[in-house]
Amino acid sequence: MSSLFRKGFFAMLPITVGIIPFGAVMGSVAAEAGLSLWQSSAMNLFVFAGASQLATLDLMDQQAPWFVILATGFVINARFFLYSAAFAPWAKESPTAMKMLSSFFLTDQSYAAMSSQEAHFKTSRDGLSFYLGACLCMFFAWHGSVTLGFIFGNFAPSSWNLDFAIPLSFMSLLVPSLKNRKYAAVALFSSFISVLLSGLPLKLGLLSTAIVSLIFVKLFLLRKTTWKIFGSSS
Amino acid sequence: MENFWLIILGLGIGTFLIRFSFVGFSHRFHITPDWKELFSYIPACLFPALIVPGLFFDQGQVQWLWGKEKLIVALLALGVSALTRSILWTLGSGLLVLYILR
Repeated sequence: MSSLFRKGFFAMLPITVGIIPFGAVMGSVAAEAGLSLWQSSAMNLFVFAGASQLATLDLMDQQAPWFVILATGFVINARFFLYSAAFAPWAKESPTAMKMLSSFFLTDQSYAAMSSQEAHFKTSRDGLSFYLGACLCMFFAWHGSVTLGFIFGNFAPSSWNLDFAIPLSFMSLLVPSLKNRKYAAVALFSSFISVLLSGLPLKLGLLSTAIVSLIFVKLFLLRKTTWKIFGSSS
Repeated sequence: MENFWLIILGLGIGTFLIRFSFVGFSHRFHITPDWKELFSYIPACLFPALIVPGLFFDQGQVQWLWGKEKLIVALLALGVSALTRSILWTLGSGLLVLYILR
């Protein structure tokens, strides 16, 4: 086990403070919806994306048609297109099996944990090791907390406001990636847009905020050069 | 729940394909410095949308802060985060202050 893998694992530990209460809710909701522990665990394993799991479980409980359930799940998870694009450079030189494994574990938190440490990685392999360590920690935290939530119900003491740990940890993962004023300005801009777009259903506010903000970056902050998608850089 | 396994399988495969989309073909295209620079803005474009709306629209319990205690504590925690660069300090101070306020 490389030291970066271990570092990634431990970097994720504090972030699990926010993940565990969410998993507890997920597990208790799955139990209330009448899923067996097997079904709940299988959903966790195959989908591994909390927000979409909660929403689709609710729809299944309401006997919604299967295509509505699938479409809802995919729309909520469409933000992973962006994470996939952002993560692609790190997995670029890896064999296909590693690309598949690292994609499978791609979550908001594991990407955020890696991107916040970006400046410290010498090679893309370093970043990948750190990321995989973070993923393993995330995996244990998510499966453990959902299983416990399934068995014991929602166990997180509500007076501790542990759900507040989610925005706090994203904030502290965002700060290191604000390298200069330009990045800080973009973060302010997207904060503003996210409030405006928060009324959109299915967490679409998230993806649309990111797209509007990226267009803002492209139009106003990047050098004006001819852009190439394929082929060598100019 | 009928169809449960088919739905889970479909959801799992579809979600995996979304995650794999760009990663899977990353070796096929050359990522130019322009794209790299644009990608470097993704955290700044995406994370605020995970953070801000939930805090902004939260209707809290502390009356003298108009129920906006989460938003205010988060701004304090932003300062802590910028100073210490530590998740533990940010989480610890944020959760503690919110607990005391409530």
